[in-house]
This record gives sequence, structure tokens and C-alpha cells, in this order.
Amino acid sequence: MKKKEIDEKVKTAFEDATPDNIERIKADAAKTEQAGVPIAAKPVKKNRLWRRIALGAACVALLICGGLGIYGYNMTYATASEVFFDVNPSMTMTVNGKGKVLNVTANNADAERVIAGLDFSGSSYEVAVNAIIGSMLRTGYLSQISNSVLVSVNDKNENRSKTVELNILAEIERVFTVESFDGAVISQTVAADAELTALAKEYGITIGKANLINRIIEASESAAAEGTAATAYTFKDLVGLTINELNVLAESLSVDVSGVSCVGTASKQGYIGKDEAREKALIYAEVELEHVNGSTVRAEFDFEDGVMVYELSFASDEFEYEVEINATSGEFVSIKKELKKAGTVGEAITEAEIKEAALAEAGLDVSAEIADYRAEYDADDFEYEVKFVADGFEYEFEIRADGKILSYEKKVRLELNKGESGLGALAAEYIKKIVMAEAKIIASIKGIDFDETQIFEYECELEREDGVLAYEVEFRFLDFEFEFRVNAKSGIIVKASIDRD
Amino acid sequence: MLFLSLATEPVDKNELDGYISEIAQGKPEGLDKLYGKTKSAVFGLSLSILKNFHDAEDVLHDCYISVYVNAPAYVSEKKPLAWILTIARNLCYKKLQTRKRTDYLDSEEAERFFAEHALPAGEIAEDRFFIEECVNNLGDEERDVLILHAVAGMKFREISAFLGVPLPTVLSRYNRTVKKLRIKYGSTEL
Repeated sequence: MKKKEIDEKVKTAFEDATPDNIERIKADAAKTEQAGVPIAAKPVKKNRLWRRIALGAACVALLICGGLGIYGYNMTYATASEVFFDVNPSMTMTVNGKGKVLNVTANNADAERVIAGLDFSGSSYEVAVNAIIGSMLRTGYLSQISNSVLVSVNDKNENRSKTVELNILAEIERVFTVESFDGAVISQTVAADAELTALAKEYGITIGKANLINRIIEASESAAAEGTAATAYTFKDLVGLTINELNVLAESLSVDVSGVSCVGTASKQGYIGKDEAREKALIYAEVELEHVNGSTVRAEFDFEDGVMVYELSFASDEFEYEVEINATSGEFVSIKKELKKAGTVGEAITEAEIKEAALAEAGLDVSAEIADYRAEYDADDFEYEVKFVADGFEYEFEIRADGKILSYEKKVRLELNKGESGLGALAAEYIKKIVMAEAKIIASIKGIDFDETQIFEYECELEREDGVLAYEVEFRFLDFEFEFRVNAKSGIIVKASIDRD
Repeated sequence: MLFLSLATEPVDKNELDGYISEIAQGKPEGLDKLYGKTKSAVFGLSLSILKNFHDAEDVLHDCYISVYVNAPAYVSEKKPLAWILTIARNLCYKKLQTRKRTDYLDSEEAERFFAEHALPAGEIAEDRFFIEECVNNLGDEERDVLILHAVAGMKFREISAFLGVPLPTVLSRYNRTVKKLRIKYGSTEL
């Protein structure tokens, strides 16, 4: 059963239970007085009126003289609009009130390559845009495989902001036409509020990209809640993606975004295509198309550990499936299979038998070499959560205590690449040790009496972010949530936080 | 191409704001419409805090009277539902000060309450299952998130702001809660 269905049932239950008392409420409201509306300002006192007038006139005169001077200065030297370009190269262009470029700064090394040798001083922003997009095409950052540009305009003057956005859009389209390039432009106006500015600073991206990511997160949240996508993304997940990849995701999520418009479609030439992905998914799931309900396999873009994947979902009479396939190579990434209806409960079996059931489901021999085997029994739910690692895959099961497999998950293990890690096999233990030492220190700073033996829900996952491998460690202690990120190569703790839940 | 649609704020926020301003102008039909759209959210939240049908019904009544009284002073920040639910929550807390805290819904009371509803027995059983699971077996934090999302229709981001809890926490609570309910529902014969 999907999350959406549970939501619906809960909603119906409460709707059915809610009494309809509106008539009584209206009757009682009619007897009640509403709160007063704010009263208009007090009338001005009559005395000394002439002094007020004289003073006012003087102020107005001063404002006009001074204002004109400032106005002239502002038009020429002050930044009126900020325009952010993101492809993978990322740059910021400042434009004055007369539409002339003040400055173009590169935000990453790719952008430096794009603007190397270009001189924008004094030119109009349209000319600068033409030069920048032309250079991105020449340097290959915009290509048939990755064809999406994000343009974001930040200007307090809303009208001007929209005009600048539209003019830039028109200019980029002109370049694309001249170069016969099938590109996609996402454009938006953004306001540099505190949240976006902080995010942009933390991750070293433009506020434009930060805004786009936020919009996609919002869409993924609603998609996740409706059960049309597996998980909602986090900012951290998406920040390493290129604009083309974000655009592919956004299209896939059917993003309905206010203030963002897109011309053209994101290039998917770098990917194997949905049809091939569907075929592969059925093979990996060992299900014949004729047994798939309605013979339909939904295919959407998603991404997993920084890799773009196709997420295929389908159902048979008995199970619901979700298969992820590497969108570029077609390789297997993960499979999840859930029993639709568990049926009547039988007698509990032994833990050893539970293990056998798990191995059998995974298609492994009893004597197969497995590691990190963990079976946790939850008496409330009358079920085991079983996890282990074998043959480079991570397996996870929910098995009812009578041996019925409720869900099965198999996932390619993101392994330490030998060249990248100096930590080796003892990594998990070593990581835990340094994290605990650090936790103790920061806990004591916060006045928390930390006891390592009392922590729970400890999780340590290897993740790749911006091309860097790091361990994400999370655990709880009392009602605190600890989070650490440890560079997998150096063992240095790069991020630590304590949150009270 | 899906980016093309330049949708603005979801309709219902503006719609609710519209009803509140009708109420502010003393139009009773505004109260009718607002009540219709939001009553189950108010009742759900109240029931989950108070764990008593009749107290929740009282809060439901008082909440809309309070909305009526304060509508002229309402300043739209595009969060009408959060405004109404804050009123409801405060009324619940006030109520809790005057009576003993209960931890469970009284099942006899639930029976009587549902007996007043003309629904098929199968639906009542399912409704009761979900309400009693939510109120009795979920933690406060889990239940709040579920009700705000499923019943009130708030987005996770809005829930995070309403509860003052970080977004990832809201999401993990929600996922955990739905999973629990799914398992329980799957293994219960109704």
C-alpha cells in the first residue's frame, strides 16, 4: 500500500469523525462582536502648523537636490540587477540601471575557462550574454548531451527584473538559433533572501541554483507524499548535479513551479532511454511483462548516490516493485519488492530459520559468504528487520516472525575505491571511534553528559558528494540527534552538528 | 517543458484568505465555506491533542468563534491554515490546563460517537482503526506530522515551519509513521 493511500484513509477517518456544528457556530458567532479594525491616525494638532509646513518644504527641497545626485550615481555605478548563469560553469554578472555590465565573476574553475579572454566592461548585458553563451558552446560545456542553462535574475525592481530576464532569454535563443543548437533555458527571477544566500554560500553555488534546487525539493516532497516518487530529495543530494541533470529531474517530477519558466527540453542523449530501462528492469526483477498489472512499467528519472538513474515501478498481483537502473550505463543499481497483502499470521519461527528465509529470498546458498549480518526483532510489529552484505550488494528485508517476507531490497554497495581511501576494511570501526571522540567533545561544550554506550540508531553510510567520498554518520543520544561527515580519504571530520529533536 | 506552467500560490491558500476576509466583513457565508474546508484539520489536531471526542468538539466550536472574532485583525501572510490551527492548538492547551490529561481515547466513547454517524459498519471499523491508531498508538510528534500532512493537507515545508522542527526531521517522522500504520493495517483484519 502506498503512502498516499494511508494518507487518504487517515484523512477519510478524521473527515468522517468531524461533527458538523456550523449552524451552532454561526448562531453563536452572530451573538459575538468582532474585534475592532485599527482606527485611523489621530488628527494633526492645529497649533504650530505653519512651522510644520516650513520644515516640510525644506525637507522636500533637500530630498530633490540630494536625491538627484544619488540617482545619477546609482544609474552608473551601483548594481541594479544581478544575473546568475549556471550550466556547470557558474558565473555572476552585475548590471547597472542603464543596462551596462559592471562586472562578470566566475564562481568555479569551469566558469573561469568560459570567460577567459573576454572583456565585458561597458558593454550592454545582451552583448555579454551573447559572448558568454557562445563561449560555453565553443568550450563544450553546452553540448547535445548537456544542453540546459539556468538564468536567474535578482533585482529589487520587479518590472526591470522581468524585462532583463526576457531580454536575456531572447538573446540566448538567438545564439542557439544561429548555432543551430537544440538547447534548453530555464529562467527565473530570484530574491536574495537570507535562506538562499546562506545555502549558496555554504555550498559555493549561485542563489539561482539554490532556488532551483529548493523548488525541485518541494516538488519531490509532494511527489514522495503522493507515492509517485520514492524519496524526497535533500539539498545535499541535489547540489552536486549539473543544471541539465536538475532539469531532467524537474521534468520527470512534473514540477509545477511558480516563477520558473523553461524553453526547450533537457537533453537525454546521454542516457539509455526509458524503453531499454523498462526491459532491463523486468529482467532484473525476473518478472514477465504479461504478469505486470496493466502491462505498464512507469519510468522516471531519479538519482541515487550522485548517479542519474531510471526508477521503474510496476506491480504484479502479489508484489509492488521498484527497480533503479544506472541511466548512463544501464547497470543494475537497486531493486525493492514489497508484498501487497501479508495475509494471516502464523506461528513464529526461530532466528536461524529467519536467516535461511532471507538467504533463500536473496537467491543465496546457506553456505554463502555474508557479512554484517543483523537481525532486529520488533515485538510490537511481530517482525524482523534483517540486513546483510554479500557479493558487493546490500540486502535488507522485513520478515514477519512467522517467516513471511514482507519486503526485500537489494542494492549495489557503494564500495570504497581502493585508490581513494586510506582507511581500508577497518573503516567502520575507525570512523565510529573518531566520531565518538568528537561527539564527546562537542557534547561537553553544549553541557550534555554524553555516554557512548547509550547511543542508539547509529548509522554510518558512505556517500559521494561533489565527487568526494565521505562517511555520513548519524546517531541519537537522549533526545539529541548527532550528525557527522567524515572525509573517507583523510578521516578528517568535515561537519558536525547536534540537534535537539 | 513542464517548467512552462507559471502556477502561482496554490489556490486554496488564497481561497482560505478570501473566506477570512469575507468573515471580516461580517458575511456568514465566509464562515460556512471556511468551516467546510478546514474543520477536519481542526478537529483532527484537537482530537489528537486532547484524546477526547467531546473536548475536541468544544475546541472545534470555540476555534471558529475565535476565527470570527479575530478575522478583522487577520493579516494575510499566505498561511491561513497555520493561523487557524494555531488558534485551535492554543485552545487545546488551555483546555488541558483545566482537566486531567488522558493518554487514550475511551473506546466506549468512540463507539457512542461513531454510532451517531450514519456510515456503513465496514467504513466505521476502518475509520475507528485509523483514528484509534493515530491517537492511541502514535507518539505525539509522529501524529502531529501525519495529521498536518494527511488531514490538513499542509506541505512538509509548512509543517516544518508550523512545528518549528527541521524539514528532514519532519520527513523522517512522516515516513516512519506511515510505515508503522501500513504494517499494522496490513496485519489487521477489519
